[in-house]
Amino acid sequence: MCFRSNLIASVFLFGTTLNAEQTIEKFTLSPSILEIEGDLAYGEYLASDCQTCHRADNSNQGIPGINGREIKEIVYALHEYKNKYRKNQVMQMMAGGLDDEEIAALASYFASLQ
Amino acid sequence: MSINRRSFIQTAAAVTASLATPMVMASGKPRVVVVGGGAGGATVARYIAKDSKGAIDVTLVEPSRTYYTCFFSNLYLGGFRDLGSIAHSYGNLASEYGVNVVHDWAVDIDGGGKTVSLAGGGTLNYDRLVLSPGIDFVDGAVDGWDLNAQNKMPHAYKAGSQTELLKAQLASMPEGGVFAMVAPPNPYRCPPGPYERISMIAHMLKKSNPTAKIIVADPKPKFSKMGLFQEGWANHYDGMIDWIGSDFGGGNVSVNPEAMTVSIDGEETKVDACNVIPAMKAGRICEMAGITDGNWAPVSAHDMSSKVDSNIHVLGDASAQGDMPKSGFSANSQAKVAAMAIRGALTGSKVFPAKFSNTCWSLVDTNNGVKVGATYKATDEKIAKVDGFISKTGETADVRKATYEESVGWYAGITADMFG
Ligand SMILES: Cc1cc2nc3c(=O)[nH]c(=O)nc-3n(C[C@H](O)[C@H](O)[C@H](O)COP(=O)(O)OP(=O)(O)OC[C@H]3O[C@@H](n4cnc5c(N)ncnc54)[C@H](O)[C@@H]3O)c2cc1C
Repeated sequence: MCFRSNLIASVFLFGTTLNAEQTIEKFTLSPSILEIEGDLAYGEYLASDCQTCHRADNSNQGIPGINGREIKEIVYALHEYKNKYRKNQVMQMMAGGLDDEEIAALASYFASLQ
Repeated sequence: MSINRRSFIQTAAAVTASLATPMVMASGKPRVVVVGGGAGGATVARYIAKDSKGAIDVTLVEPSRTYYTCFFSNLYLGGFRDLGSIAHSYGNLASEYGVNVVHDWAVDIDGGGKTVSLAGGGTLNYDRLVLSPGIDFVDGAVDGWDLNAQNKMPHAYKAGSQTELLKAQLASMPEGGVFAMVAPPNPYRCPPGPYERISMIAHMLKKSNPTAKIIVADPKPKFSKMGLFQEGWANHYDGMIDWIGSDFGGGNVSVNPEAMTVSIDGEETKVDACNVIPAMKAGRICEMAGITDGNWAPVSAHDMSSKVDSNIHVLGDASAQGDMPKSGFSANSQAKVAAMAIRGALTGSKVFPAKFSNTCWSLVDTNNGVKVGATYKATDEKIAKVDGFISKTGETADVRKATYEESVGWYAGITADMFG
């Protein structure tokens, strides 16, 4: 993975709900990571673990709804948690257990939802 | 136990043969019966029904029409929630997902004939059975206490009327009265549960009865999130809580529910309210199915199937699976793995490697939440921990408030994930 190339200021949609544990920092991902095509079926299975907290009806109640966000936003957010650029212990742990393909799969799936 | 071993062995060969290919039932759709409509059972029923899109017939057997979550029942004791807010019905599972909800007790399982007998007299046939019956108490675990004493000294470890009773008894304690808890030995449902409960009771008494005392007799030398709870107790409820661990005789306990006394290491104390949380075991139906080893039902980590009978899956508190704590979050996570595996076996849908996660939030005082969590993977031996975290002592009020708010979001999320 290469974080230094191609400085892109990403959009931090996950950070829009106020959470004292979350901060916004600069972080970049290499195009090769962003280009991974997510496996929708695998994403659907992996997403079931997320949907314990991120509600399937997309409502915000202490934890943000994440349906329908753009693939790139989700990929960024998860890599940022994984690399501890964003602070939230639960999300750092959950993202920490995902590899690049799994992150791509989840992003494709959540982006496909309403 | 009613499994006829001989017929079980006779049918085993046929069962194995039919499992080699995805099962297509000549007589109609494959059938899944789920016993227990709690964190594990409601989730697995919903996911199988939802994701099989009608290809699998799902029946959920649960005696209660209303499920009171144990999670957040301590917040009810603390005055942060009303009872109605932790009550859930099975209406959506039936109307939105087509789950056949049967309000009855499963009283027997015949693993050979693949049938479940109901207290009401009916029998259900299954291709796969899921048991998620939660816990029962080990007989004789606390000297002087049995289920007949549960109205005098409630356990409140199955939520609902027991929780209501404990709350009423706490509210009617005399000024400066004594509340005692007998804490359970490991392993038990919700490791931080008794200590969150102590925090919530202290919060409530501090307002209504500030000179009251709380005694905890504990058969363990240490407990989940101990540093965090002890920090909170010192900061918020100083001098109110006397925790007596096993190093100080906390495991040497007897109770007298008639006299309302508790004896800890030979010293008898008169109490005004008492919460006895005895040692636990898998819900009794697991014994009837003949799938327990000791107090719990061992399962394969890959699909939560019983190590005794691979057509029976066991979820949640009742299972012996390895490293996951017995929590609602764990049961819900295990349910999704089992749902995927069962759909795969019955309809040939794709099966991915099992992944699990858990986080347990606890409330220490108003806007003061703490959490512990971990991720897990399936190994051939057990569900094995991969990574984890725990809140730190000395965190800022903002962090603790955010943690509490997150727990409120989790509660709304998991109950929607269970009941639709
Ligand atoms: C005070 C307290 C606080 C808790 N807090 C948390 C928390 O904050 N977070 C968390 O994740 N977990 C928490 N838990 C733990 C959580 O409640 C359990 O781990 C979870 O409910 C286990 O799910 P389960 O499906 O195994 O059993 P349950 O949810 O108990 O469901 C079992 C169901 O099976 C039914 N049943 C039993 N036998 C039969 C039968 N023979 N036939 C038909 N139905 C049957 C019962 O009626 C019940 O509805 C807490 C527990 C307690 C006691």
